[in-house]
Amino acid sequence: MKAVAAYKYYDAETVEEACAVLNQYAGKAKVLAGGTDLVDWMKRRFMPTPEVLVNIKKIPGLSGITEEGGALKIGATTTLTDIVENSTIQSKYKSLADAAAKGPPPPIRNMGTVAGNLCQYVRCWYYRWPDWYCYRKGGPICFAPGGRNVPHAIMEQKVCNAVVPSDLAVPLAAMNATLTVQGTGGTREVAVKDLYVVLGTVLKPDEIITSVTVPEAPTKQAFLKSRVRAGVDFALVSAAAATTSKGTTVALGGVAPIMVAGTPDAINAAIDKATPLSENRYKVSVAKAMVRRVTA
Amino acid sequence: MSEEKKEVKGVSRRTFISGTVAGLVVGAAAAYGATQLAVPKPPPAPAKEPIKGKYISLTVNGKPTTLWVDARWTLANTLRNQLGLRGTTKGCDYGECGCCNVIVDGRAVPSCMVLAIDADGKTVETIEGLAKGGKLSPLQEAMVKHRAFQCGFCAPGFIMTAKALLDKKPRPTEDEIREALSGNICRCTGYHRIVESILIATGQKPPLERISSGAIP
Amino acid sequence: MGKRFVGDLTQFADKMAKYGYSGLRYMGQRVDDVNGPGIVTGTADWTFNVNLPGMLVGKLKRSPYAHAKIVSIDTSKAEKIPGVVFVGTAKHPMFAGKLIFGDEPVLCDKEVWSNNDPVAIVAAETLEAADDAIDAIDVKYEELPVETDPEAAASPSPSVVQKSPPPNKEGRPNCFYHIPLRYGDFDKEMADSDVTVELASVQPPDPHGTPCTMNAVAVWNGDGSISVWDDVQNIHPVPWPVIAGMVGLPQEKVHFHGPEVCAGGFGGKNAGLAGVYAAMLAIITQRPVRVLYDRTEGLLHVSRPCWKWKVKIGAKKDGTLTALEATTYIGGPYGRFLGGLLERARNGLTGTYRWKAVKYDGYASYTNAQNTLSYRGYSSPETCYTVEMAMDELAKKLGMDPLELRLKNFLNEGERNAMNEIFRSMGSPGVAKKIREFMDAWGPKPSAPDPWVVGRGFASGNKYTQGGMVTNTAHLKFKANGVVEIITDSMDIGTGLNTIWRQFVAEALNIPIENTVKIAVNTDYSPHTSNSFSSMATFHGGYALINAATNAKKILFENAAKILNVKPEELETKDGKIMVKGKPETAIPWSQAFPSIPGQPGPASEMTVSGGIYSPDDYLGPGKMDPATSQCLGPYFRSVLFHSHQAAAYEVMVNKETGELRVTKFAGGCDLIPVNPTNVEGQIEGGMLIMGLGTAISEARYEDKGMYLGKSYLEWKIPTVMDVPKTDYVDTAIVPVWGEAHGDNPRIDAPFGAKGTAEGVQAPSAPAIANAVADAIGVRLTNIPFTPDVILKALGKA
Ligand SMILES: Cc1cc2nc3c(=O)[nH]c(=O)nc-3n(C[C@H](O)[C@H](O)[C@H](O)COP(=O)(O)OP(=O)(O)OC[C@H]3O[C@@H](n4cnc5c(N)ncnc54)[C@H](O)[C@@H]3O)c2cc1C
Ligand code: SF4
Ligand code: FES
Ligand code: FES
Repeated sequence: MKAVAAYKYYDAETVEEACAVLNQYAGKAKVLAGGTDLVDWMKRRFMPTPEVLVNIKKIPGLSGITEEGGALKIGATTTLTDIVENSTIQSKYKSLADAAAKGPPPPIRNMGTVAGNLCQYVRCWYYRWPDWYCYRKGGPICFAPGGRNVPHAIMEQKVCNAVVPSDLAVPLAAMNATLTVQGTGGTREVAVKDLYVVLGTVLKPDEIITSVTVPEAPTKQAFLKSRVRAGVDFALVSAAAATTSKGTTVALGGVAPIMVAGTPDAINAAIDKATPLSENRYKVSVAKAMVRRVTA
Repeated sequence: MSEEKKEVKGVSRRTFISGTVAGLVVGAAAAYGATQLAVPKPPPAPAKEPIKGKYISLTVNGKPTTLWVDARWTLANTLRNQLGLRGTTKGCDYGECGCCNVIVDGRAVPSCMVLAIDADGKTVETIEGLAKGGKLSPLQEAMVKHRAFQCGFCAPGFIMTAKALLDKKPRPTEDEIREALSGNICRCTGYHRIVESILIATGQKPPLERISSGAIP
Repeated sequence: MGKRFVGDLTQFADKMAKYGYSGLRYMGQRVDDVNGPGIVTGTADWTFNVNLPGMLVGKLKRSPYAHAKIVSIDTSKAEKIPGVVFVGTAKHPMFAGKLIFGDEPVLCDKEVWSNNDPVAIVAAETLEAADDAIDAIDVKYEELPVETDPEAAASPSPSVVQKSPPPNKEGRPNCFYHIPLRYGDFDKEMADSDVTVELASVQPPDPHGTPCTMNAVAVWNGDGSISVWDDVQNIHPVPWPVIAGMVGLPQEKVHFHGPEVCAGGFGGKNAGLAGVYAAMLAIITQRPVRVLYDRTEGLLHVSRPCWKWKVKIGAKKDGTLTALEATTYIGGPYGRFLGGLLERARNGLTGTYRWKAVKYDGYASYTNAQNTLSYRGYSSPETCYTVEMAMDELAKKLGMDPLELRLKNFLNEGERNAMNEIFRSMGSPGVAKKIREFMDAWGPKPSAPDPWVVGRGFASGNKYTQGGMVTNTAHLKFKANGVVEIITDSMDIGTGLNTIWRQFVAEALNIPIENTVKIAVNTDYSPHTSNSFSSMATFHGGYALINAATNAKKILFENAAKILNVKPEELETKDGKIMVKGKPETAIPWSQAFPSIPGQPGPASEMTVSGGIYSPDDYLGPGKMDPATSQCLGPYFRSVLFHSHQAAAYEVMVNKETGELRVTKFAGGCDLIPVNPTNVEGQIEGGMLIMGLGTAISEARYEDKGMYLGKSYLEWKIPTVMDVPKTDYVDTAIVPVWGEAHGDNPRIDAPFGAKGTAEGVQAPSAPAIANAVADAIGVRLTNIPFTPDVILKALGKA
């Protein structure tokens, strides 16, 4: 029905090689993981599409779930199904398993990877189609405030009102998870809660997420998600809470273009200062109720 | 509301919206968002060149095949057009309806979202592989008997998704069945008889109780 | 355990005998779907799977805007893309015409009136080249003001005048239809009411949403004819003449192939326009061409229109209904079927209940909303929705049980309704009582964990099938080996027609069903039998088939009587043999009784016999309808072919914190004699349980300046399996009533008493959910769908 836009394919065998190709094409190459988001873009063509896709699934060691020294390490290309079905995650990091299970439907979970889930493009309905040339695409305006904004952000909007679509980011942020990121210039760590910035992520064009680390298993945790349909749909609002040796962190999904994470008090205060748009005031009360429930 | 937003609101969208994708190229640099930062070092030359297509090997319904695929082809289109397996239908091409679900390496996936070139070396099961020697599988048989489908367009996807579940778990609960099928859309049936047929095929439920005061079986 | 109730059919044995009834051998039986094996193996002959060597891909470039002037179209870049065979615009004479109602351009030239209007067309060797070409076509638009609200558009001084010259119906520039109904002394009856209820509702456009989008294949034949395969619900009334007319060929030169099963229709595949584009491209390129709409086109090319309703009903203290006032507005960029919708809305209002006075005005106007087409129910769900909510509110005000209120006011069999039509085949009370019985059997409302609350709701529904296109013919070809071929143009759209056709024939001829074959549909030999729309296929096609069987038996018995030396009345037939009644030893095979060809010895090797109903005037009866009042004048005149009725009950859970709505229990039923109960239950489950549920809870249609934002299944949300109750909590009921039509002169029975049902099933579902939601949260919501934001707003939390 819709053809994938023209591009060239590259099978990377090492992370270094992948970074090199990404670097060579300077932003016009993209990492191909499960492809569930990327192929959608290549078909809808809502923005100029990449010239090269660098498949990283064949790189040895990028996939897998291990627990070392009390920390959980998830390889970047680990699928969401692997997360849902992993017994360690089910027992000790349940909010993450819940978020994956309440994320995309099973066939997408079978393909979609943890890093791809974190890096997927926003689902704003103006953004996802070529008909609207909005701010996030380089256009002059965000259509949401003056248009239809039921699923949009209620806080931290700056110039774009799209929300972070990733369900996994929410419990990961609450559990203080970090990402190991490798580029041509070396390796660095990025906290999940700092991954998102105004119009995207802090990743540079040549950088690849190689793994996600949850530093310690929470002693108490919860994840909640509200959506229109019972079985599929991105979060209208989601919330996770995790109590660790560092205290309790609450993270909210579906409410902002960046991760909103902090202490329960800080989050409640942030909700009180929310700036909902014309059609999404409901999210304020949902967020409040959810924070109360995940921290109860 | 922040200052920026107010500013943005004031701009007339009419001036800027473009009817063509070509129009978007103007903003291409910004299109990659704030992550589009300067690249630090001169690129080390990669070992190979990116390619537009290649020969891939697939095992489809037990039969090994080698074929050339264009990088732009999805697995769904390749199955339908190159391998002549037209039982795999497509309802969206965006991974949102489940019609095109096939089993790849034991897991149900939407074949419209799999790039064929990325499926090199995989084992694929499609609806054509289910009936052996002209005999329907028990799952297919129950679905005919209990009228799981109406127009049937969604059927291949539902059946392959259900098969992947049953391969792993021969007697799934109703909740597990519903969860497994939650990515499949059917506009005709209300899903009721699809779930029921799976429960019946796995010997977990008799056909629903039929109250009848007359001659209806 | 879910319940499946099917009422006693033996009570109708005497009436069925007239049609060759052979003792419920196949009537009312759960015969396996003949399409089943093809479907579960992916080998069913959907048009989607037609594959011709060298087939090109046809694609349309469509407008992103809802209303705009086309400044320029530059196709030069697209033409240069390797693999592109043809690029066309309205400048090409083939694409310069108008479709269907004469107001819809094949390709838009100067102006677009709706999001998704086609402006250019491409044929290419591959999907890739076609999509690249579509993207490379550069269209410059100048936006024009947009109006999507059908009520505002109907105003005498609208903000946008859409067409020039404007239709200007009754001084309303955009309005092209006004359908009124005036019955009884409305002012007096309303004034005399002890209690009144007023409600307004908005029901947004809702696409048909079939996973299989519109698609067609066409090929140019060397003899100057074309062959077309089109995924359609009907052939003779719309797609065939439209395609032939648009490409300028006589109908005989368009060989039209129907699918074995239309891959989901619900009204959306009545026009078959993909076939028009495929045929045009096939003629231009002289190559086979496939046109397959993508998901977005599939959701945008047509839908049901937005309906705005205002309803006021009155009653006496004892619950006797008095007056009904209803005003409705619908609209769309093109005329299409909108006038018919307003007529059917009027019919729906006058049905189910007894009113002393009714005042109805329906207006259809040009807007820049999504283009429209017939949609399951053809206005009955939209009409019943507001009325059935008002009935519940009325019951509340009167302190009456909602079922009691309805039972008190249901029209009786043979009574005249507010259109002065004689009302036949009334099963509302039976169905309503049965569904209520199931609902009561659910026991007391369960208590849900905080913050969930539980509610239950009930509603009735109706669907009145209009006749109109009644020129039904079916052929039966009898072969010497006992096989009977069924030659019709009727389209199985998942409804099971291919199966029930065989049931009708096998029952009427008293033969094993294995000896019947339904022949693939092809206009080269298929007569106009029935259309799979307006729930009329069973009625019309079944009638024609039984009539053909009766005619065949007459011929066979006359010939056999000569051989067996008895009178034809003394004969009977079973399993392809004719015998003297009660004397199986006298049996001769049918083939011996086939007529002989003149001048030839012995019987011919085959026999083809036709049957049907014709003459639409007969069905209308002598008389006419007064257009100013919609009153049927003349003793028997009726605008409705047959009446059908339904009822539904739902239990819902609402989360008062998140606004989420989940459906936990369902019971639903309809009033008819089922040819195949499994098929009817399938309609109840698919149409009532879920399709109506989708319109009520999730299928929100967001647009911004007429540009639709829900263009795929994640944004426009069909319920999934997780949104329906578990199998133990789905109850269905089929409450048999004898189906009949044609007023009283002559009264015509439905075939074996079986009338249609596939649309009406949707009618009670949204209002029953609305009533359940009101019960759960204590607030009456009237604008669908009830998405979380809407529910929270109603609860004061937004
Ligand atoms: C029907 C449907 C429903 C969905 N519902 C939900 C939902 O409810 N909740 C939810 O959270 N998600 C949902 N999703 C989104 C889905 O979870 C994502 O598409 C998926 O997780 C993306 O993973 P992927 O591996 O396929 O990513 P890809 O499509 O391969 O990549 C996505 C993006 O991430 C980048 N990327 C991938 N891996 C890396 C890496 N290692 N380093 C740097 N960048 C990388 C890619 O370059 C690309 O830009 C849904 C999707 C569909 C189709
Ligand atoms: S919310 Fe962001 S993505 Fe959506 S229209 Fe506004 S700028 Fe574009
Ligand atoms: S066609 Fe692949 S999921 Fe819809
Ligand atoms: S049976 Fe028609 S879509 Fe499922």
